[in-house]
Amino acid sequence: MLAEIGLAALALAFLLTIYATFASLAGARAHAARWRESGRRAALLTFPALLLAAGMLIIALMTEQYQLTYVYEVTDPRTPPFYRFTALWGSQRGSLLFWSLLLSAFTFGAISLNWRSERRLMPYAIACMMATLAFFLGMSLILENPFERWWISADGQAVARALIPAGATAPTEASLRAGAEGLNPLLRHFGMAIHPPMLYLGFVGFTIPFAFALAALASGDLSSGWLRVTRRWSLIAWIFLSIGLILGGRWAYDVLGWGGYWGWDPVENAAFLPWLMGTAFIHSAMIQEKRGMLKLWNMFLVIATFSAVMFGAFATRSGVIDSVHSFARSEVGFPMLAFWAAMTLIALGALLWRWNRGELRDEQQFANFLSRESMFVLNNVVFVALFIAIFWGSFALPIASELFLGKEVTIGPETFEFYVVPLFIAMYILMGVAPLSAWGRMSAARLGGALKLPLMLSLLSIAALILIGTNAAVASFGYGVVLFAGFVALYEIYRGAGARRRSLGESPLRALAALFGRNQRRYGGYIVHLGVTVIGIGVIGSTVFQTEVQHTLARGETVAVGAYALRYDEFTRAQAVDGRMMSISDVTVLRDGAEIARIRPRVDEFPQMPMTIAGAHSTLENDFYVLLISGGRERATFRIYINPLVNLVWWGGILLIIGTAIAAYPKVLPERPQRKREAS
Amino acid sequence: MKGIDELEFLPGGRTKAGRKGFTLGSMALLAAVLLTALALGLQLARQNATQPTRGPAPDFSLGLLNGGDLKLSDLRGQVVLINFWASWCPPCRVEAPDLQALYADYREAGFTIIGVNMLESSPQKARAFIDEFGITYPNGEDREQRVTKLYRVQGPPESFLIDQRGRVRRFYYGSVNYDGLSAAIEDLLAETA
Amino acid sequence: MRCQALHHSDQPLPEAAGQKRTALSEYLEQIVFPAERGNPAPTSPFASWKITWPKTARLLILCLALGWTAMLARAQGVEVTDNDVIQVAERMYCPVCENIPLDECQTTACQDWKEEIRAQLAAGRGPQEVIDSFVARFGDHVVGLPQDPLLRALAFIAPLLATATALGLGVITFRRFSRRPALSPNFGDAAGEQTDEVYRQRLEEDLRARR
Repeated sequence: MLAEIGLAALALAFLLTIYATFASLAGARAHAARWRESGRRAALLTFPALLLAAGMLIIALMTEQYQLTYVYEVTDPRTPPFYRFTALWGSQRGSLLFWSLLLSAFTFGAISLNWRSERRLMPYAIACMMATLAFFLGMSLILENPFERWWISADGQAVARALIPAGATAPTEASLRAGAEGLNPLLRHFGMAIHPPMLYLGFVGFTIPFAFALAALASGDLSSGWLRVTRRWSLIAWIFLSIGLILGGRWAYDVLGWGGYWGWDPVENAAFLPWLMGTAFIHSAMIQEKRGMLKLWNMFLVIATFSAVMFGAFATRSGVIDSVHSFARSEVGFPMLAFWAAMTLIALGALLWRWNRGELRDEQQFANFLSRESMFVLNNVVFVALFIAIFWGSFALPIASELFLGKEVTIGPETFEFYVVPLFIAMYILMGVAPLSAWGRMSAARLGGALKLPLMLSLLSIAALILIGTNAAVASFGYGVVLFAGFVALYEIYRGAGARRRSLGESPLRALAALFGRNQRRYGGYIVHLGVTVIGIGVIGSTVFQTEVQHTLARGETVAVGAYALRYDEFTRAQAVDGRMMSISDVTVLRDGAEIARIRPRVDEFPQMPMTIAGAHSTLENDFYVLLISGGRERATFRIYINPLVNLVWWGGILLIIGTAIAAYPKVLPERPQRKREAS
Repeated sequence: MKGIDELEFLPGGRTKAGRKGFTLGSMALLAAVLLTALALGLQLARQNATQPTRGPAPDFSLGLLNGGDLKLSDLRGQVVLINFWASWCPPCRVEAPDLQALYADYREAGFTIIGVNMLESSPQKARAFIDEFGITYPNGEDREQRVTKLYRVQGPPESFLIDQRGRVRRFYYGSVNYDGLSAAIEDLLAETA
Repeated sequence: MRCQALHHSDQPLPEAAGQKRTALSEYLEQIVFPAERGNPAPTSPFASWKITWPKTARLLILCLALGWTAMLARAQGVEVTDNDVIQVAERMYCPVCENIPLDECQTTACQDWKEEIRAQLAAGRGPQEVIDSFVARFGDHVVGLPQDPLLRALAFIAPLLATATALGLGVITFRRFSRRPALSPNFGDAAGEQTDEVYRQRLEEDLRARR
């Protein structure tokens, strides 16, 4: 029964999306309010329909309906309830349904919030969102149906079909329970409960800005209305994507067992690429808002972000590229490729068409080299260069080499770091300089004056670092550059609050609160910059100064690693509730001869694969991170990492999220009147 | 997918200063996107290709471990089993005695085995494996994984049974055993007779 | 996903000493019993000494050779530690699993490869030589940095070109900015901008007054 209801809801949602697409388009073209309204309602209805469909799948997962092949593939009778729930996105089919659900939720939100204010754009935007949703639902229905069930056909064969084949019977409960496969062990981690939903929210969220951009191109209403709507939706998608990326790093650090959080794997990069484009857009959108420039470019960035999301979904789900994280190969590859190409061509074609007609001309504004405009242009140069370089290494070169040279290549971290590091240094320098320059004109003297204090502080920090014995010159320089960006953000906040305090006589705390309330975007942005600074410090510390050693120890033996020592105490084998065998080692961490922690690195032997689960002693200063490589009761081999400052990566992430939330939070004060020029 | 192609929403008519069509640069950009999509499609088709289970067996030449080269097409007229293996693969150890026994029993009748040693850490390991199981059929190291790629092998052990006319007739995923294979070999040997 | 089915070896990596013994014993065998091993007859100028020199001289040479081997062994750092192996394995990728660094992979195939790295290092090869030998046998996809000159050039030069192009576009955009005359002399007339600029100016003045 569950499966039938789910299937019906899914089919209904699919029909609604098709109807909404055409009704909205017809309504917009013929200026028919009734059709527009009808399209809107159909679009709104997809959300409850999909909520029902996903709800049925969740109930099936929770109540162990193993006749559903999806439930059979991702859970087994020993799976704990928590992972039964997260199994919704544990494999291709469920995650496609989940993707559609999130997309319909975003669409629901966009329609509810923007219907009144963006009357002209809305029908086109709905058509675009619904067409995208229709594509994903179509794949769910035809190629990757989550409600497919096992049947025993008339001739005794087990077949998987969504609807009962003629003469078939349902398999027995016992045989289903016995055969169920269980969730991929890699996904049995708390981070997996949050990381994929966040990442998907980020990916899916960028559909909304894209839809508004396409709506502007389609309707010819290219005033800054679309940009206003798009900017906030972009920020919302950007928060989720950032959270998803950071959690993904955390998950890799905890579960993949290699002492790091970013491996430059193609799938990780596929999630990073839209982030780069989105970040470029969030910055350059400001130039258009304030100065009416870069209209073509901003539109292009929105399209590129969505295109990068779709490309990432294609690359991850099709198996076109080898990766640790790939979904199992499936038939969705060609449809996804076609959808990506079609959407990109339509949007790019529409953009170029409008531009060739002279409809996206910038306003005539002057800006000199040190102006904020040119800083933002440089910022975009850096992000675009990062995008191209990472795309080249992860996708273009490996694919081209195999296709045209007949050679397989793997591009590893050492290659990426070669060009990514200088670009990130440039990014941090710009992060420091840009906030201090002004729109239009900026004299070198004024900029120099503003830079003096943060620059001095950075130089002082470099000197202090060298004094306390930081021997790597590159790292000291890196810290200096990263800190410079942070000092500027702090200095700006301090100056702003100070000025309010003196001119209005507010208390420091009140001045600070008023500052953020009055100009959320600017000061929220500075908090984001601070977060990125903290992440940068963590990244430099944990990569440049990482210690990595491997030792084989007899039981009771101690080995010194830097200021620490590790003692191998005990070895046990145990069986967990879900049936996996665990080899657990008990080790003691010592510092200067004193015991500071006991940790238990272990190896979990799942039927599919062994998993190395690290034991870590985590402090502000560093993580003492130990992996059990192999061994038994008498001797065991350990891989020991000391990852300095690695926790700053996570804390910086939290700061970044807080900052973005401040910037994106609906404005408390009434909106400022629109610029006259935009209205005309 | 439906509905995307129908997005004929661009209203014509309104003309401002500027072109109506696309400039050469714009068209080049769109063409580049299209070409990228085509290249991706080609690559996807390659990635999705699986082990050949029928049709002419792709020809290759293999440098043998005890010197000399062996070309598959030179074995035309014999029934050939191409066996992909590695010493670190436990199922390969299981099937090795059976393979040697099959070779010993059917060699006279016109059957041979080519062992393709893949992803081996060192040739010494391969030789040790051959010595351990007393293997006498020809074995070669698959340099740069040419043969492995040709047959789209995912991992050892995998075997392909080729008939006397050089066509792939059966594909075995995972280890094989004497009884299962001997019947198939006899069938193929009987074909010309 | 065949790699997942492979068994995880519980055995620690073999001790380096074992490898050293093999290398040395092979060397001895070659000197003392060249004929028994079925080597082709030596054609070097030294070919005759084996026959003509008295037994004691051969022993003396054997001793010298032993000492020399020991010295060589030390110079080559035959004591290969786990960490030396990791240093090389970190730069390589697992042959069976997709895109997993060799260093982190625990399948039997990878254990074997790491053992081979250890053996080659123990035989006195440098890390680069070890990597070259693997690339020669398995192709460029087993390392993270292509060894093929063309591929390496493509990996490094293309992103630089891309950066240069992006910078070029940026410069063109900027030149467009700076060529334009300001349309109205009092730029920043728009309400939004004005609040922003005035606010900023007030901040500046405030700070100046304080000094």
